[in-house]
Amino acid sequence: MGMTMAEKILARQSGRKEVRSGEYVTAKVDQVCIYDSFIDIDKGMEEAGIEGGLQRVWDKERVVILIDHGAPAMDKNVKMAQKHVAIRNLVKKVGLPHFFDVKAGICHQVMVDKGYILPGSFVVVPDSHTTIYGALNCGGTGIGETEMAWVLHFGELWFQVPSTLKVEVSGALPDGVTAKDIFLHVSGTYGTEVGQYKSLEWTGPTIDDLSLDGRLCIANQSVELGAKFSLFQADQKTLDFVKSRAVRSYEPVAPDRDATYETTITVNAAQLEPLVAQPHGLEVVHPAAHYRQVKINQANIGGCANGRLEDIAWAARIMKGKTVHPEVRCIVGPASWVVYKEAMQAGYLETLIDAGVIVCHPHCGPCTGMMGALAPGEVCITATSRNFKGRMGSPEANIYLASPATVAASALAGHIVDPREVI
Amino acid sequence: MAERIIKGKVVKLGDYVNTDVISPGRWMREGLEVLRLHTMEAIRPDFYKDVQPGDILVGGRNFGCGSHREPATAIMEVLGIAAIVADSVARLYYRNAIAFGIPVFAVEGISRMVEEGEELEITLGAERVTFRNTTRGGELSALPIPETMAKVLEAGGVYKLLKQRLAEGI
Amino acid sequence: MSGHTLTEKILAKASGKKEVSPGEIVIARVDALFMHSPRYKFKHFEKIGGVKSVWDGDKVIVAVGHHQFLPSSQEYADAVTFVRKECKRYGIKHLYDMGTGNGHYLMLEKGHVWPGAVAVGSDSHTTAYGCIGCLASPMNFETSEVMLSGKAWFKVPPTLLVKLEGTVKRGVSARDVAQHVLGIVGADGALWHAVEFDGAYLRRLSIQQRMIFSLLTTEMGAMCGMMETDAVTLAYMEGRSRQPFEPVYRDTDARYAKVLEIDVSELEPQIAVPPQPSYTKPLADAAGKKVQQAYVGGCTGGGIEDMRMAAEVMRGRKVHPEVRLIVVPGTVAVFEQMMKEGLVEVFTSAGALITPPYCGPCQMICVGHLGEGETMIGTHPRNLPGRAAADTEIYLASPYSTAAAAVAGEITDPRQYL
Repeated sequence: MGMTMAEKILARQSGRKEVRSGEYVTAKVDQVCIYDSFIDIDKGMEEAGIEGGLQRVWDKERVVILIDHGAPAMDKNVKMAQKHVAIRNLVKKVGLPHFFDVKAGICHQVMVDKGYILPGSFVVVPDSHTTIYGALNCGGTGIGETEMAWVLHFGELWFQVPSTLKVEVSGALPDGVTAKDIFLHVSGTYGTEVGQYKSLEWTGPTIDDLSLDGRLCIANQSVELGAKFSLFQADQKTLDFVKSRAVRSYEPVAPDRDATYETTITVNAAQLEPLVAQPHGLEVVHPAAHYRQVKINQANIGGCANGRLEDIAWAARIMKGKTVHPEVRCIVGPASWVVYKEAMQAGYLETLIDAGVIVCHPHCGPCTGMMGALAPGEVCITATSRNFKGRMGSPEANIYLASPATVAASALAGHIVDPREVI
Repeated sequence: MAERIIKGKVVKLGDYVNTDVISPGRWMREGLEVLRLHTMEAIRPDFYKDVQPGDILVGGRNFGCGSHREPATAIMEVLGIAAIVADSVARLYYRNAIAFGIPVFAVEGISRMVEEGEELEITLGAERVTFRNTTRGGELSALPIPETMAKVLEAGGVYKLLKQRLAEGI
Repeated sequence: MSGHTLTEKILAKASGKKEVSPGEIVIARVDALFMHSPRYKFKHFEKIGGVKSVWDGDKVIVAVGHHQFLPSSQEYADAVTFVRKECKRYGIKHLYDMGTGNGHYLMLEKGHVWPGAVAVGSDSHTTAYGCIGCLASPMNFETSEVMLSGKAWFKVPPTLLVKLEGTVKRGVSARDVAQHVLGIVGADGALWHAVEFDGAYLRRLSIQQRMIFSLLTTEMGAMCGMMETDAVTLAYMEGRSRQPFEPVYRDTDARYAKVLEIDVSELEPQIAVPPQPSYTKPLADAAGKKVQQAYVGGCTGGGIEDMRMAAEVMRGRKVHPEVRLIVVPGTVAVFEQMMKEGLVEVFTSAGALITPPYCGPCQMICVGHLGEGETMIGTHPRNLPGRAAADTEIYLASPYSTAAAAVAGEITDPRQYL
């Protein structure tokens, strides 16, 4: 019987000819990335009585360290800056060559930009959005820092082979409807547990037509469906992107014709509209027009969910020659300096600055409320990844989640608006 | 896994208790002792006052969904939570709890079987794990924690297992 | 009877007197009031009760985006929300919100001050606006009084005249000269004085470069730091001023407490060493000192000319691996201009971080905080200990020198890169 992509990846990584969903395997890891919490691993080891803390890793070439959540050290509080100094010292102590400090951007984008994410490979990061790498046919999944301590020493970790949920998307996306709306349709229709513990496989002509930026958005957000993996096949787009930057050789995976799927969901993209998830989760989703009376104070575009060129292009297209509503703060944060530069060269950043947008340096701040916190009673519409209660500051603030197009249109109007009204 | 009984008073929460709520970003940076005062604040202010060491946390659907942030698991140890049982548990939170040595179980129906303040008895047997409401009756059972994870739990978490393994010499 | 200095003439006019002399106390009408953190002043209004509005909503300018381009803490987010509400409540017309930039640049850019005006601000660097011949003086809590009355008391200061002559060498900038002046006058050398600048060198400078001189007078203890209006000023003010103005000129027989004549021709790059902005040394004396962070921005380094200087050094080069270079445009207009001129590309290609406009890590608010043991070099105006962690060192220098340190990883003469 054939295997799904998840089964193939885990079979390969555990040195088995074949594995089946439900089995437990010990899988070798191809690549890791650790951000600001790197120092917590050293601390955790010391606290557990492991003398000397973190001293070595299983393979220095397979470890990327960077600082993205609090970059550069923020707030009038020396603790964060101290943490950064400690991270730099730890990187030196262990001798890790792939260190990007505060200077590259958000981890997941940097990993993609710099060729560490390759088709068919297996990557773990202490971050829930690691599923993002599935867009490049890479088995990416989140673990915690504690488990990462194990991976750093032995280059492997135990996993249960997940069953797979297939999502077939067909139909042409109407103008103004984006990859983010495809995701919101799934979370709104099927709930945030539809992919619990599962691997998702996205297929269909709409998926084939999606840009890599669009696939990265869907794969990133899939963790909010409970997913362990969110995989796309490697096509010419993937291979063209990867070939000029790959750090090592790779072998894509594709599902066997006779692979077994637990369920299949179908989505008709032609019938989708711009969607919005209302506070405080991703389950209650309605067309943007439904929320027209909701006034907003802040509009965010960025993060690892929607901080890529295509997302910024949407904002620039909608905001060109116009101005952000006077009562709204609009933040656009490219996810990495590579994206920042591309957006700048395309003229998007100038358009956005002219429109009164706060164009941020690449970092995780606005998504987590570490920068741009919301005061009690405020309302934010965001194209970042989550809208949980209190995530962006006050628990008495309301966060709506939508696509970059919807967010940009709303930033102009001062209230939530279907972007098709302005394109 | 050796048979073991965990018994404690139930502290009950609802559905979709996510890690932003368990460990708010603003307080996470201030250390676990400060975080303790703000855990669950958005849904249940002063939650820490309702919790006694030895209590069992019962949740509804998708407990621990959202970000991987480890303080959301570490804080359970600080609060003295003996175990976490929910109708369903988010994948990453499940992994993290085991990695910390905190017993965690996904048992469909648990949220309907117990109420706040009642006593829950968890018996970890070789073949099954049973959950008994000793206050007013009711019983559910589930498969035991898989062996791979059980080993981590028995060692007291991944750091402890790592210490053992390093001491043995790689 | 002798003539009067610029300061004396402006104060006379503003207090409705024919003339004033040093030592006199006058009550002057205020034309512009600048604040960036008025939260506790509004709370004070609550406490005293009965406050309906500020004296003139058009003359009060609040820049909440001065210290932070986005709130970096919940406290600040809540404070700014409160300030927005209160500004509306008291009729304050000019609120520069998050991401609009450094308030001092905005005051000038947006025409809130003009030659001959009297401006006060609840920030020590308010002296900045003296560069267009405006009498600008810092005060703090007192501004709550000014907000209601539109008047402020001044003790007419004696004036120190600084005449700058000659032409600087290549690679020596206005910041180096201003730093040199600060070093000569000293931290209390202009205490309770007004400082006025003149000279052929000065008159050749743009308004933005003159602003550096005005701004740094506060580090000398001065009450204000002014230049006379000239063609450069009038060209700058064209289409910018919010109301018609009448420049004030000093009398040829004005009496000065002291006159300092400085020839800038032999000047080498300068640097302010810890622990004080007035501890000026030739940059060569500090060469070799390793830095971990470099910062181009702040109210003495966030203008387009400063960015051009830094870019000249950075073009085609990379930031040293052990250094974080943070570039902070002073305002949105500066950021836009940087984009148009390709300067942003130069900095990002070099590996620098560019933030939205604000005042930068001068006070370690927002982003760019230093850790213990770290050293920073920057174009900003102040390096007092305690601004960052206790065990850090901050050096102040020109955009050329700051960029050079970012490349070399240590303080070094920038002229090797020009």
